[in-house]
Amino acid sequence: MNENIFTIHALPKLNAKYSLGDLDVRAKFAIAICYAISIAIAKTPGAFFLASVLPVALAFTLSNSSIRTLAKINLLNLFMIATMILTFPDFHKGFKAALILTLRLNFTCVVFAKFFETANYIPDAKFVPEKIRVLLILTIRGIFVIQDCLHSSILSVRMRARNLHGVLKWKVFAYVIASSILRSEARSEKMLLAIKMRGGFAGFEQVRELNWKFSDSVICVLSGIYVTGIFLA
Amino acid sequence: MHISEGVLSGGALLTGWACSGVGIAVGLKKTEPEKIVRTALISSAFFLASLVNVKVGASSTHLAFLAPMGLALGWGIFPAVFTALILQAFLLQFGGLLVLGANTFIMSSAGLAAYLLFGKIISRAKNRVMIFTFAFIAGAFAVILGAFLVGVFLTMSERNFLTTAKIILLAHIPLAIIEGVVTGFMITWLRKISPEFLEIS
Repeated sequence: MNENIFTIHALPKLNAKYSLGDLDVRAKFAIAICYAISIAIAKTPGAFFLASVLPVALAFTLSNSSIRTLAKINLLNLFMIATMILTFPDFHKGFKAALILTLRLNFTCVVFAKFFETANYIPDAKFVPEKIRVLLILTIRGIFVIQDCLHSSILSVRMRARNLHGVLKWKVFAYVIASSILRSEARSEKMLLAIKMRGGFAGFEQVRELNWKFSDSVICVLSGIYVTGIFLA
Repeated sequence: MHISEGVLSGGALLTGWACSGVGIAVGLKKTEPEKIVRTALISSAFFLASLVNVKVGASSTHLAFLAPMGLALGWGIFPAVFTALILQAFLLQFGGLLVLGANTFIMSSAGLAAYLLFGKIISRAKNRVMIFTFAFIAGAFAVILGAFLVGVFLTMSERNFLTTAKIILLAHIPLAIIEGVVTGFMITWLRKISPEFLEIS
Protein backbone atom coordinates (compact mmCIF):
# COMPACT_ATOMS: atom_id res chain seq x y z
CA MET A 1 0.00 0.00 0.00
CA ASN A 2 1.35 3.42 -0.92
CA GLU A 3 1.59 5.47 2.29
CA ASN A 4 2.24 8.70 0.41
CA ILE A 5 -1.40 8.76 -0.60
CA PHE A 6 -2.22 10.03 2.92
CA THR A 7 0.03 13.08 2.70
CA ILE A 8 -1.24 16.46 1.61
CA HIS A 9 1.27 16.52 -1.26
CA ALA A 10 -0.46 13.54 -2.87
CA LEU A 11 -3.73 15.41 -3.28
CA PRO A 12 -2.90 17.26 -6.53
CA LYS A 13 -1.90 13.90 -8.05
CA LEU A 14 -5.22 12.39 -7.02
CA ASN A 15 -7.07 15.39 -8.48
CA ALA A 16 -5.20 14.94 -11.76
CA LYS A 17 -6.95 11.59 -12.24
CA TYR A 18 -10.18 13.45 -12.95
CA SER A 19 -10.73 15.00 -16.39
CA LEU A 20 -10.74 18.64 -15.22
CA GLY A 21 -8.56 18.03 -12.16
CA ASP A 22 -5.30 19.15 -13.75
CA LEU A 23 -6.56 22.70 -14.18
CA ASP A 24 -5.86 25.25 -11.46
CA VAL A 25 -8.92 26.04 -9.33
CA ARG A 26 -8.56 29.75 -10.22
CA ALA A 27 -8.61 28.90 -13.93
CA LYS A 28 -11.72 26.75 -13.43
CA PHE A 29 -13.38 29.61 -11.60
CA ALA A 30 -12.44 32.10 -14.34
CA ILE A 31 -13.81 29.77 -17.05
CA ALA A 32 -17.09 29.22 -15.16
CA ILE A 33 -17.50 32.99 -14.69
CA CYS A 34 -16.73 33.57 -18.42
CA TYR A 35 -19.41 31.10 -19.53
CA ALA A 36 -21.95 32.41 -17.02
CA ILE A 37 -21.33 35.99 -18.23
CA SER A 38 -21.64 34.90 -21.87
CA ILE A 39 -25.07 33.39 -21.07
CA ALA A 40 -26.12 36.59 -19.26
CA ILE A 41 -25.02 39.02 -22.00
CA ALA A 42 -26.26 37.03 -25.04
CA LYS A 43 -29.06 39.09 -26.60
CA THR A 44 -29.52 37.87 -30.20
CA PRO A 45 -30.75 34.29 -30.92
CA GLY A 46 -27.40 33.48 -32.61
CA ALA A 47 -25.36 34.62 -29.61
CA PHE A 48 -27.69 32.76 -27.26
CA PHE A 49 -27.33 29.56 -29.30
CA LEU A 50 -23.54 29.92 -29.28
CA ALA A 51 -23.50 30.50 -25.51
CA SER A 52 -25.75 27.49 -24.87
CA VAL A 53 -23.59 24.88 -26.68
CA LEU A 54 -21.24 24.16 -23.77
CA PRO A 55 -23.86 24.17 -20.95
CA VAL A 56 -26.03 21.73 -22.94
CA ALA A 57 -23.02 19.42 -23.41
CA LEU A 58 -22.08 19.72 -19.71
CA ALA A 59 -25.66 18.99 -18.60
CA PHE A 60 -25.23 15.35 -19.68
CA THR A 61 -22.20 14.94 -17.40
CA LEU A 62 -23.79 16.28 -14.20
CA SER A 63 -24.01 14.12 -11.09
CA ASN A 64 -27.37 13.03 -9.66
CA SER A 65 -27.17 15.48 -6.75
CA SER A 66 -26.60 18.40 -9.14
CA ILE A 67 -29.60 17.32 -11.23
CA ARG A 68 -31.76 17.20 -8.09
CA THR A 69 -30.60 20.74 -7.19
CA LEU A 70 -31.42 21.90 -10.72
CA ALA A 71 -34.93 20.47 -10.36
CA LYS A 72 -35.41 22.36 -7.06
CA ILE A 73 -34.24 25.61 -8.67
CA ASN A 74 -36.71 25.12 -11.53
CA LEU A 75 -39.50 24.54 -9.04
CA LEU A 76 -38.71 27.89 -7.38
CA ASN A 77 -38.51 29.48 -10.84
CA LEU A 78 -42.14 28.57 -11.59
CA PHE A 79 -43.26 31.51 -9.42
CA MET A 80 -41.09 33.90 -11.46
CA ILE A 81 -42.44 32.49 -14.76
CA ALA A 82 -46.05 32.98 -13.62
CA THR A 83 -45.28 36.55 -12.44
CA MET A 84 -43.68 37.46 -15.78
CA ILE A 85 -46.52 36.05 -17.87
CA LEU A 86 -49.15 37.80 -15.74
CA THR A 87 -47.45 41.19 -15.30
CA PHE A 88 -45.85 41.88 -18.70
CA PRO A 89 -47.91 44.23 -20.93
CA ASP A 90 -48.12 41.64 -23.72
CA PHE A 91 -48.71 37.88 -23.11
CA HIS A 92 -46.30 36.86 -25.90
CA LYS A 93 -43.56 39.17 -24.62
CA GLY A 94 -44.02 37.79 -21.11
CA PHE A 95 -43.93 34.19 -22.32
CA LYS A 96 -40.80 34.83 -24.42
CA ALA A 97 -39.04 36.56 -21.49
CA ALA A 98 -40.01 33.71 -19.13
CA LEU A 99 -38.63 31.13 -21.59
CA ILE A 100 -35.33 33.01 -21.95
CA LEU A 101 -35.13 33.40 -18.17
CA THR A 102 -35.63 29.64 -17.64
CA LEU A 103 -32.97 28.78 -20.22
CA ARG A 104 -30.50 31.30 -18.75
CA LEU A 105 -31.17 30.04 -15.23
CA ASN A 106 -30.60 26.41 -16.22
CA PHE A 107 -27.48 27.09 -18.31
CA THR A 108 -25.88 29.23 -15.58
CA CYS A 109 -26.67 26.62 -12.93
CA VAL A 110 -25.21 23.83 -15.09
CA VAL A 111 -21.95 25.78 -15.53
CA PHE A 112 -21.61 26.51 -11.81
CA ALA A 113 -22.68 22.99 -10.78
CA LYS A 114 -19.96 21.52 -13.02
CA PHE A 115 -17.43 23.96 -11.58
CA PHE A 116 -18.23 22.93 -8.01
CA GLU A 117 -18.23 19.24 -8.92
CA THR A 118 -14.66 19.54 -10.22
CA ALA A 119 -13.31 22.17 -7.80
CA ASN A 120 -14.15 20.17 -4.64
CA TYR A 121 -13.77 22.51 -1.66
CA ILE A 122 -13.23 26.24 -2.28
CA PRO A 123 -12.59 28.06 1.03
CA ASP A 124 -9.14 26.47 1.46
CA ALA A 125 -7.89 27.96 -1.81
CA LYS A 126 -5.39 30.80 -1.44
CA PHE A 127 -7.25 33.24 -3.67
CA VAL A 128 -10.15 33.56 -1.20
CA PRO A 129 -9.31 36.38 1.31
CA GLU A 130 -8.53 35.02 4.77
CA LYS A 131 -11.23 37.09 6.52
CA ILE A 132 -13.89 35.71 4.13
CA ARG A 133 -12.61 32.16 4.71
CA VAL A 134 -12.72 32.58 8.51
CA LEU A 135 -16.12 34.26 8.26
CA LEU A 136 -17.51 31.42 6.16
CA ILE A 137 -16.26 28.73 8.56
CA LEU A 138 -17.51 30.60 11.64
CA THR A 139 -20.87 31.33 9.98
CA ILE A 140 -21.45 27.66 9.22
CA ARG A 141 -20.59 26.73 12.81
CA GLY A 142 -22.56 29.73 14.15
CA ILE A 143 -25.73 28.44 12.47
CA PHE A 144 -25.62 25.30 14.62
CA VAL A 145 -24.68 27.19 17.79
CA ILE A 146 -27.54 29.72 17.39
CA GLN A 147 -29.93 26.94 16.43
CA ASP A 148 -29.06 25.12 19.65
CA CYS A 149 -29.57 28.27 21.76
CA LEU A 150 -32.83 29.08 19.95
CA HIS A 151 -34.12 25.57 20.56
CA SER A 152 -33.61 25.77 24.33
CA SER A 153 -35.04 29.33 24.45
CA ILE A 154 -38.16 28.39 22.48
CA LEU A 155 -38.71 25.33 24.69
CA SER A 156 -38.52 27.45 27.85
CA VAL A 157 -40.88 30.06 26.36
CA ARG A 158 -43.40 27.36 25.42
CA MET A 159 -43.27 25.92 28.94
CA ARG A 160 -44.08 29.35 30.41
CA ALA A 161 -46.58 30.64 27.84
CA ARG A 162 -48.02 28.22 25.30
CA ASN A 163 -50.33 30.60 23.42
CA LEU A 164 -48.79 33.92 22.51
CA HIS A 165 -50.68 36.26 20.19
CA GLY A 166 -50.33 39.65 18.53
CA VAL A 167 -47.56 42.08 19.42
CA LEU A 168 -46.56 40.04 22.49
CA LYS A 169 -45.63 37.14 20.21
CA TRP A 170 -43.24 39.37 18.24
CA LYS A 171 -41.84 40.90 21.42
CA VAL A 172 -40.98 37.46 22.79
CA PHE A 173 -39.62 36.41 19.39
CA ALA A 174 -37.34 39.47 19.25
CA TYR A 175 -36.05 38.85 22.79
CA VAL A 176 -35.45 35.16 22.06
CA ILE A 177 -33.46 35.96 18.90
CA ALA A 178 -31.42 38.74 20.56
CA SER A 179 -30.66 36.69 23.68
CA SER A 180 -29.71 33.66 21.55
CA ILE A 181 -27.21 35.77 19.59
CA LEU A 182 -25.68 37.12 22.81
CA ARG A 183 -25.46 33.64 24.38
CA SER A 184 -23.99 32.20 21.17
CA GLU A 185 -21.28 34.88 21.08
CA ALA A 186 -19.56 33.44 24.14
CA ARG A 187 -19.61 29.93 22.64
CA SER A 188 -18.34 31.19 19.28
CA GLU A 189 -15.43 33.03 20.97
CA LYS A 190 -14.42 29.72 22.56
CA MET A 191 -14.76 28.03 19.18
CA LEU A 192 -12.47 30.58 17.52
CA LEU A 193 -9.95 30.13 20.34
CA ALA A 194 -10.05 26.34 19.86
CA ILE A 195 -9.47 26.74 16.11
CA LYS A 196 -6.52 29.09 16.78
CA MET A 197 -5.02 26.68 19.33
CA ARG A 198 -5.14 23.84 16.80
CA GLY A 199 -3.00 25.86 14.42
CA GLY A 200 -5.32 28.64 13.37
CA PHE A 201 -6.26 29.22 9.79
CA ALA A 202 -2.68 29.64 8.62
CA GLY A 203 -2.10 26.06 7.51
CA PHE A 204 -5.37 25.35 5.73
CA GLU A 205 -4.21 26.46 2.29
CA GLN A 206 -1.47 23.78 2.31
CA VAL A 207 -4.18 21.25 1.48
CA ARG A 208 -4.55 22.65 -2.01
CA GLU A 209 -1.30 23.45 -3.80
CA LEU A 210 -2.20 26.07 -6.35
CA ASN A 211 -0.16 25.69 -9.48
CA TRP A 212 -0.92 28.01 -12.41
CA LYS A 213 0.35 26.44 -15.63
CA PHE A 214 0.63 27.51 -19.27
CA SER A 215 -2.46 25.43 -20.14
CA ASP A 216 -4.47 27.42 -17.55
CA SER A 217 -3.45 30.69 -19.22
CA VAL A 218 -4.37 29.33 -22.68
CA ILE A 219 -7.81 28.14 -21.60
CA CYS A 220 -8.52 31.44 -19.80
CA VAL A 221 -7.55 33.47 -22.91
CA LEU A 222 -9.77 31.23 -25.08
CA SER A 223 -12.68 31.73 -22.67
CA GLY A 224 -12.11 35.49 -22.80
CA ILE A 225 -12.20 35.41 -26.62
CA TYR A 226 -15.39 33.33 -26.46
CA VAL A 227 -17.13 35.91 -24.21
CA THR A 228 -15.96 38.79 -26.43
CA GLY A 229 -17.29 36.93 -29.49
CA ILE A 230 -20.70 36.47 -27.87
CA PHE A 231 -20.74 40.11 -26.78
CA LEU A 232 -20.07 41.24 -30.36
CA ALA A 233 -22.45 38.70 -32.01
CA MET B 1 -35.98 39.88 -1.73
CA HIS B 2 -33.60 37.55 -3.55
CA ILE B 3 -33.28 38.10 -7.29
CA SER B 4 -33.15 34.81 -9.14
CA GLU B 5 -30.35 33.71 -11.49
CA GLY B 6 -30.88 34.62 -15.15
CA VAL B 7 -33.17 37.60 -14.52
CA LEU B 8 -30.66 40.46 -14.60
CA SER B 9 -28.89 41.79 -17.68
CA GLY B 10 -25.10 41.99 -18.01
CA GLY B 11 -25.04 45.70 -17.09
CA ALA B 12 -27.13 45.18 -13.95
CA LEU B 13 -24.97 42.23 -12.88
CA LEU B 14 -21.80 44.28 -13.38
CA THR B 15 -23.26 47.21 -11.41
CA GLY B 16 -24.21 44.84 -8.59
CA TRP B 17 -20.76 43.27 -8.40
CA ALA B 18 -18.96 46.62 -8.61
CA CYS B 19 -21.05 48.18 -5.81
CA SER B 20 -20.96 45.13 -3.55
CA GLY B 21 -17.21 44.66 -4.25
CA VAL B 22 -16.50 48.14 -2.91
CA GLY B 23 -18.79 47.51 0.06
CA ILE B 24 -17.19 44.14 0.89
CA ALA B 25 -13.67 45.64 0.64
CA VAL B 26 -14.57 48.53 2.96
CA GLY B 27 -16.45 46.15 5.29
CA LEU B 28 -13.51 43.74 5.53
CA LYS B 29 -11.10 46.59 6.21
CA LYS B 30 -13.32 48.02 8.94
CA THR B 31 -14.00 44.63 10.57
CA GLU B 32 -11.35 44.17 13.25
CA PRO B 33 -10.22 40.55 13.94
CA GLU B 34 -11.91 40.54 17.36
CA LYS B 35 -15.24 41.50 15.75
CA ILE B 36 -15.18 38.67 13.24
CA VAL B 37 -17.03 36.29 15.59
CA ARG B 38 -19.86 38.80 15.99
CA THR B 39 -20.02 39.33 12.22
CA ALA B 40 -20.19 35.56 11.65
CA LEU B 41 -22.90 35.16 14.30
CA ILE B 42 -25.08 37.87 12.82
CA SER B 43 -24.51 36.32 9.40
CA SER B 44 -25.73 32.99 10.86
CA ALA B 45 -28.77 34.75 12.36
CA PHE B 46 -29.55 36.25 8.92
CA PHE B 47 -29.32 32.77 7.39
CA LEU B 48 -31.58 31.28 10.07
CA ALA B 49 -34.09 34.16 9.78
CA SER B 50 -34.79 33.07 6.21
CA LEU B 51 -36.03 29.74 7.59
CA VAL B 52 -38.59 31.40 9.89
CA ASN B 53 -41.87 31.67 7.98
CA VAL B 54 -44.14 34.58 8.80
CA LYS B 55 -47.79 34.16 7.85
CA VAL B 56 -49.15 37.17 5.92
CA GLY B 57 -52.80 36.49 5.06
CA ALA B 58 -52.99 33.43 2.85
CA SER B 59 -49.32 33.62 1.93
CA SER B 60 -46.11 33.57 3.99
CA THR B 61 -42.80 35.41 3.92
CA HIS B 62 -39.61 35.38 6.00
CA LEU B 63 -37.74 37.90 8.12
CA ALA B 64 -34.47 39.42 6.97
CA PHE B 65 -33.13 41.39 10.02
CA LEU B 66 -31.60 44.01 7.70
CA ALA B 67 -31.76 46.94 10.13
CA PRO B 68 -30.54 44.99 13.22
CA MET B 69 -27.61 43.75 11.10
CA GLY B 70 -26.77 47.27 9.98
CA LEU B 71 -27.09 48.72 13.50
CA ALA B 72 -24.91 45.95 14.97
CA LEU B 73 -22.22 45.80 12.28
CA GLY B 74 -22.17 49.10 10.37
CA TRP B 75 -20.08 48.60 7.21
CA GLY B 76 -19.41 45.01 8.35
CA ILE B 77 -22.89 44.14 7.04
CA PHE B 78 -21.46 43.69 3.53
CA PRO B 79 -19.19 40.66 4.28
CA ALA B 80 -21.83 39.26 6.67
CA VAL B 81 -24.60 39.33 4.03
CA PHE B 82 -22.19 38.08 1.35
CA THR B 83 -21.27 34.92 3.30
CA ALA B 84 -24.88 34.25 4.33
CA LEU B 85 -26.06 34.62 0.72
CA ILE B 86 -23.38 32.19 -0.49
CA LEU B 87 -24.72 29.62 1.98
CA GLN B 88 -28.33 30.38 1.04
CA ALA B 89 -27.51 29.93 -2.66
CA PHE B 90 -25.87 26.55 -2.02
CA LEU B 91 -28.08 25.09 0.68
CA LEU B 92 -31.50 26.62 0.01
CA GLN B 93 -31.20 27.60 -3.68
CA PHE B 94 -32.17 31.23 -2.86
CA GLY B 95 -30.76 33.69 -5.42
CA GLY B 96 -27.68 32.49 -7.29
CA LEU B 97 -23.96 32.97 -7.76
CA LEU B 98 -23.94 35.39 -10.69
CA VAL B 99 -26.56 37.58 -9.00
CA LEU B 100 -24.76 37.33 -5.66
CA GLY B 101 -23.24 40.80 -6.20
CA ALA B 102 -26.61 42.44 -6.84
CA ASN B 103 -28.33 40.61 -3.96
CA THR B 104 -25.47 41.47 -1.57
CA PHE B 105 -25.63 45.14 -2.56
CA ILE B 106 -29.44 45.32 -2.24
CA MET B 107 -29.62 43.82 1.25
CA SER B 108 -26.42 45.30 2.66
CA SER B 109 -27.06 48.83 1.44
CA ALA B 110 -30.57 48.71 2.94
CA GLY B 111 -29.11 47.73 6.33
CA LEU B 112 -26.26 50.23 5.98
CA ALA B 113 -28.69 53.03 5.13
CA ALA B 114 -30.67 52.22 8.30
CA TYR B 115 -27.39 52.42 10.28
CA LEU B 116 -26.26 55.69 8.70
CA LEU B 117 -29.65 57.40 8.97
CA PHE B 118 -30.92 56.15 12.33
CA GLY B 119 -27.79 54.92 14.17
CA LYS B 120 -26.92 58.24 15.81
CA ILE B 121 -30.57 59.06 16.62
CA ILE B 122 -31.06 55.67 18.32
CA SER B 123 -27.78 55.98 20.26
CA ARG B 124 -28.79 59.46 21.54
CA ALA B 125 -32.39 58.51 22.40
CA LYS B 126 -32.81 58.38 26.17
CA ASN B 127 -36.14 56.70 26.85
CA ARG B 128 -37.31 53.29 25.64
CA VAL B 129 -40.30 54.60 23.68
CA MET B 130 -38.03 56.81 21.56
CA ILE B 131 -35.55 53.96 20.97
CA PHE B 132 -38.39 51.62 19.97
CA THR B 133 -39.96 54.22 17.64
CA PHE B 134 -36.74 54.99 15.76
CA ALA B 135 -35.71 51.32 15.63
CA PHE B 136 -39.19 50.48 14.25
CA ILE B 137 -38.81 53.13 11.54
CA ALA B 138 -35.28 51.87 10.75
CA GLY B 139 -36.49 48.25 10.46
CA ALA B 140 -39.44 49.08 8.22
CA PHE B 141 -37.37 51.53 6.14
CA ALA B 142 -34.65 48.92 5.47
CA VAL B 143 -37.18 46.40 4.11
CA ILE B 144 -38.91 49.00 1.91
CA LEU B 145 -35.54 50.26 0.62
CA GLY B 146 -34.47 46.67 -0.13
CA ALA B 147 -37.67 46.01 -2.09
CA PHE B 148 -37.25 49.34 -3.92
CA LEU B 149 -33.66 48.41 -4.90
CA VAL B 150 -34.89 45.03 -6.17
CA GLY B 151 -37.29 46.98 -8.39
CA VAL B 152 -34.49 49.29 -9.57
CA PHE B 153 -32.29 46.33 -10.58
CA LEU B 154 -35.20 44.57 -12.33
CA THR B 155 -36.21 47.71 -14.26
CA MET B 156 -32.55 48.34 -15.13
CA SER B 157 -32.51 44.93 -16.84
CA GLU B 158 -35.91 45.05 -18.57
CA ARG B 159 -38.44 47.91 -18.66
CA ASN B 160 -41.35 45.44 -18.70
CA PHE B 161 -40.44 44.46 -15.14
CA LEU B 162 -41.94 47.74 -13.86
CA THR B 163 -45.27 46.13 -12.89
CA THR B 164 -43.43 43.25 -11.18
CA ALA B 165 -41.32 45.81 -9.28
CA LYS B 166 -44.47 47.59 -8.06
CA ILE B 167 -46.00 44.28 -6.91
CA ILE B 168 -42.79 43.39 -5.05
CA LEU B 169 -42.81 46.77 -3.28
CA LEU B 170 -46.46 46.38 -2.23
CA ALA B 171 -45.94 42.78 -1.11
CA HIS B 172 -43.14 43.88 1.24
CA ILE B 173 -45.29 46.36 3.21
CA PRO B 174 -46.66 43.75 5.71
CA LEU B 175 -43.14 42.35 6.14
CA ALA B 176 -41.82 45.89 6.75
CA ILE B 177 -44.30 46.36 9.61
CA ILE B 178 -43.43 43.00 11.21
CA GLU B 179 -39.69 43.60 10.73
CA GLY B 180 -40.11 47.08 12.23
CA VAL B 181 -41.81 45.67 15.34
CA VAL B 182 -39.15 42.93 15.77
CA THR B 183 -36.32 45.45 15.20
CA GLY B 184 -37.89 47.86 17.70
CA PHE B 185 -38.07 45.27 20.47
CA MET B 186 -34.67 43.79 19.62
CA ILE B 187 -32.77 47.10 19.60
CA THR B 188 -34.54 48.35 22.76
CA TRP B 189 -33.55 45.15 24.56
CA LEU B 190 -29.97 45.18 23.25
CA ARG B 191 -29.51 48.87 24.21
CA LYS B 192 -30.55 47.95 27.76
CA ILE B 193 -28.79 44.58 28.21
CA SER B 194 -25.69 44.78 26.01
CA PRO B 195 -25.17 48.22 24.43
CA GLU B 196 -21.59 47.35 23.38
CA PHE B 197 -23.05 44.76 20.97
CA LEU B 198 -24.36 47.55 18.76
CA GLU B 199 -22.04 49.46 16.42
CA ILE B 200 -24.00 52.64 17.17
CA SER B 201 -22.78 52.71 20.78
